[in-house]
Amino acid sequence: MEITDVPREKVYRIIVLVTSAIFYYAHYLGYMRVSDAVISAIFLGALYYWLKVSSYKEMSSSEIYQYYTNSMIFMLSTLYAIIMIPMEARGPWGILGALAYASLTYAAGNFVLWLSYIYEHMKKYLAVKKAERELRRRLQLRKPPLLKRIDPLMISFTLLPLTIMTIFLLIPVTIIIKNAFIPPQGSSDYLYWIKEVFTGTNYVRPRPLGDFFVVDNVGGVPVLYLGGARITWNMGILINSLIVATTVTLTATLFGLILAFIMARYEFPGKTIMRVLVLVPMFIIPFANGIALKALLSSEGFLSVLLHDYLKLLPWRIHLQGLAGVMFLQIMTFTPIAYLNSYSSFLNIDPNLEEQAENLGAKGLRLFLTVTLPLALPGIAAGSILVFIFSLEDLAGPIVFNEHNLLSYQIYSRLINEATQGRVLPEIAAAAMILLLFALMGFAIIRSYVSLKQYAMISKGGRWKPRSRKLSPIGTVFAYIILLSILMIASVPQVGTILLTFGLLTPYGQLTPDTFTTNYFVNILESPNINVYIKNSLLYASLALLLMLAISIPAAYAVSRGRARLLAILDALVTLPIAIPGLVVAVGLFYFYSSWPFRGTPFDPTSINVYNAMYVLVVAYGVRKVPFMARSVFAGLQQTHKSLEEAAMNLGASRAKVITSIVIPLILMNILTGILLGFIYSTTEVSVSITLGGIKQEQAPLTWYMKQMVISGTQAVYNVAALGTLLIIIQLVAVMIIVLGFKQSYAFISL
Amino acid sequence: MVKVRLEGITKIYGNIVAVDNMTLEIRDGELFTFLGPSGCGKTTTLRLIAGFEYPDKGKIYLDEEDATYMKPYQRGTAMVFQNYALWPHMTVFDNIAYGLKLRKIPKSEIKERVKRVLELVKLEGMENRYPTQLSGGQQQRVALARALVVEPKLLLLDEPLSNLDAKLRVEMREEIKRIQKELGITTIYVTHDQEEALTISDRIAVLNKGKVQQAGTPFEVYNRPRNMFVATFLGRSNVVEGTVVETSGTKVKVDVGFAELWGVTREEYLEAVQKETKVGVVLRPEHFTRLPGENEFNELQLKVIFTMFAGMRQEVKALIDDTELLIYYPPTIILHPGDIFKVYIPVEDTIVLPL
Repeated sequence: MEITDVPREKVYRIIVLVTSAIFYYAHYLGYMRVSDAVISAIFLGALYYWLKVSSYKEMSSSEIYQYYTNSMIFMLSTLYAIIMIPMEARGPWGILGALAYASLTYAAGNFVLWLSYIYEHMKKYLAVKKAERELRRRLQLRKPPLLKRIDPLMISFTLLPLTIMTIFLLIPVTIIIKNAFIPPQGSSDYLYWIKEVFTGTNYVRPRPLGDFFVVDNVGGVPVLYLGGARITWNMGILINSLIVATTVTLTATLFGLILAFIMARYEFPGKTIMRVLVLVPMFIIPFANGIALKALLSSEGFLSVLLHDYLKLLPWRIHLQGLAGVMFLQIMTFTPIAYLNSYSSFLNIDPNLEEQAENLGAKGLRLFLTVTLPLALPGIAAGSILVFIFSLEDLAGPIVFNEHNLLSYQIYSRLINEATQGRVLPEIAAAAMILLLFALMGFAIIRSYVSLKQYAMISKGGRWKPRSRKLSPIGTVFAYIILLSILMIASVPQVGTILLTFGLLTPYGQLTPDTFTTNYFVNILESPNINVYIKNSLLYASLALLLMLAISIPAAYAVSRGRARLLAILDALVTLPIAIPGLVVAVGLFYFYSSWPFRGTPFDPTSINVYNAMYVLVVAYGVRKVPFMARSVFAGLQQTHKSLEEAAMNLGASRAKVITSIVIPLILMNILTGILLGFIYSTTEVSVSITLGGIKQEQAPLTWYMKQMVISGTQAVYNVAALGTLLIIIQLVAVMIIVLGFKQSYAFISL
Repeated sequence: MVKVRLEGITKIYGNIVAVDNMTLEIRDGELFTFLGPSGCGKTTTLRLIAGFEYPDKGKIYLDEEDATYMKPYQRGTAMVFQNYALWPHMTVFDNIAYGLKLRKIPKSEIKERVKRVLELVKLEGMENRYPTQLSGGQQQRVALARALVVEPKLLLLDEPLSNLDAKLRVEMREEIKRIQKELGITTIYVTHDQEEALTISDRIAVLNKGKVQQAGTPFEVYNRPRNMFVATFLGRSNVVEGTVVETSGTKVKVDVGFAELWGVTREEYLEAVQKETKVGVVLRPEHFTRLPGENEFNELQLKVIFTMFAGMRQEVKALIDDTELLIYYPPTIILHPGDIFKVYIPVEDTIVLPL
């Protein structure tokens, strides 16, 4: 085989450089001696090269990349990290830290590879363009006159969403990056704040503070404090965030994968009921879910008492604290996302592909590992990265569990403190930029990974009958045990919220079946003090929907029908908000709106007198949640063949007429689905709502009020739960309309 | 009705030349077919004529009017798509009436014209059905009706029958031919199916690699191929190479190794086909006869390798020297492997082409 791909050669060298830099960083933090770092980097580099050359006989270099390098980088850097960590810092958490560090190496290497693919792609594209230019010259061709080629409608369909997304998403994010490099007063060190976030003791601790597991006797009962007792366990803000996000991602993906496989591939009695039950954990109820979980898994909480005192399954009662609480809550909240993505990728596998493998003799685990899993992997990977990003940016969990040592909480608390003083320090910008960096890196890894493994599944067009097997009675029992245990864990927050709402559960977690009341629920609807927030949220969400429609329909149409190169950017821009943490948007908007040209307008959060949260939130909801609607509309357009439009055009319809009479009616269901999703996601938005949304109390949205009540104390918790129940009802109605009315799938959260 | 003229049309996609300097004239009222393998540029040419794409070079004239850069809806063409492109959210009536409504034709007249066109395509009484409630053949008819009802100057058919089963395909192509003749409408038909092209067309353009290889009546392109591509693309043929030993007008004597065959070449090749030049000789299997005919002929003696019985004929693989030939033999006389037999082929069907 010829060695043709020079760019990849360069990549290997760059990886060595990047790895060295990371080793250097490890050295700086005291994890390893500098000589070790240098030797390891050289060794790793040599190993890549050896792998590459030695495998050339049978494989293409991309195969080497896929099958060997990835796993090697990961394994080796883990090994090195563990070896190199000073003895006294090892222990179980030292190894976790090392793993986090190894993942970072892995991610950085992948990121560089991803860049190289962009580079290769660009080069290929430019080569084709050059060949085209030469051909045009040789054949003496000229492009059709400009005025004939461009379609004013298509141009505005491209420019309108592009402009909105640039102004309200790209510019604010760019400002954050710019501000992160502002040196502190009297210094000229542009990297000061970034170094602070990577090396400051608050952000990165060489050794954990406190213990993760603490067993204590409380009134004669042994209680296991998960996440630490008086001092919560803490590895530093940055490392904490990474540990939480990694743990949550792996666990939620595993749970989701298992659930999805059973649901997609097996037939058993009661499956229809299970299908409905799986929907329960999907309801998004910020704050309320945390309160329910915190109550149920506390030293007096019902679940703790049940597991220890009654079922005798555990030697102690469990009390969730700090990071452990955040992790538990996020695993429960995000398992459905992993489930939905895995489920739809299992269903999307052409059964013929698996049947062919079976026909050749593969079965059982081998079939799953060699055919099914690789085919489903892009979808599963997309789900996990969403979980990773959502976990990084989650605010409700840290607020409920009062865990301050996370990037998201830090950014949030300092933003609201400093916003009232009218200026925000560059340290927040640096932290926000790094949060963004991690989210984008995850996004990039998955994107490159998925595009590398673009398994084109050739189908005959129509949807196939998915493979599913009938389970034996014993199999059914096993399936139920697995399904129910995961589902029970995942739906604790929803069930707890409803119990709290109707007074069946106390804020300390005791079950009180005899105190049923609907007062709390009626109260939130009737009390003018509370329902003003409901009204605010409904108003903002409805207006945001109009904005989303104005962005999504033109953007999706232009992307699916147009040919211009610019459209790839537009496509990325309307998808990107998924990967941008809400807090980053909030910080960016704060900077953006408090300067020219918004200074002194109702957008400006520093001009309290004229500020109006409505303007800010409508735009923020619209821009942040646009991917959900855009994907929905885009999916509809992809199912609609272009010839349907050409037929109309051919019969005398202009493009505008085609869109109103053919396109819109055909994708109406997708638009309505998008509207419902956009509505759900807007009303449950947290990051911008509780920061910029709470500047003027009377203009604040629902989630801001829920956060206030969580902070304020015990009795107010009932109101939060009641509002959570209200959100469940809204979502239940929407899901029913989508599933039963539009016959659309609910698997919307996918990249 | 209209005549279509393409003048040096070129269209490229990236660095691929889809249509290469194509010049053609389609006469008023004829059914003209673009025939060729996939990727030959036939659909692209059709889309250029319909106005969905613009050429990179050249002009398209509808009658004498320059239509190169007209919008699709200004051209007065009507197209039937491969996948029919019926709008699933509209009934048959609404699908067909769409073009008429755009032309602001009064309601009563729309009703009348839809009724008439449904009679023409034999779908009376189906007005209120939705496309999904129709069979493939019926959908095809609706698509045709939708195109015809606006009384287009030019009808464009893009592989209209490729999604139908074999039997229906034969029925529908007769149907299309009947309607086209009844209305006398200029029609451009795109297909990769040579039997379809040969049976339906007034004239055919055989395309390859974006170029017209030959344009002519079905008889001409089949029996008098202009080059090796056309000779081998249409029907089945034996091609043997040889050297010219004698010429007399268009008649040429070629030494092909196992025999010296008399054949004919085209006038345009008189210069190219001289004594001593290497040429190809095309022998179609169905042109061989068991008995000598009245015209001049070549005589060959072969040995059977194997035979395949195909109902209306017997397909025989036979050997002459080292050369294998395919011959269609009457099905009534059974040949066996190893049999020696004689066949005759008329000189006028022995086609000599430059290589």
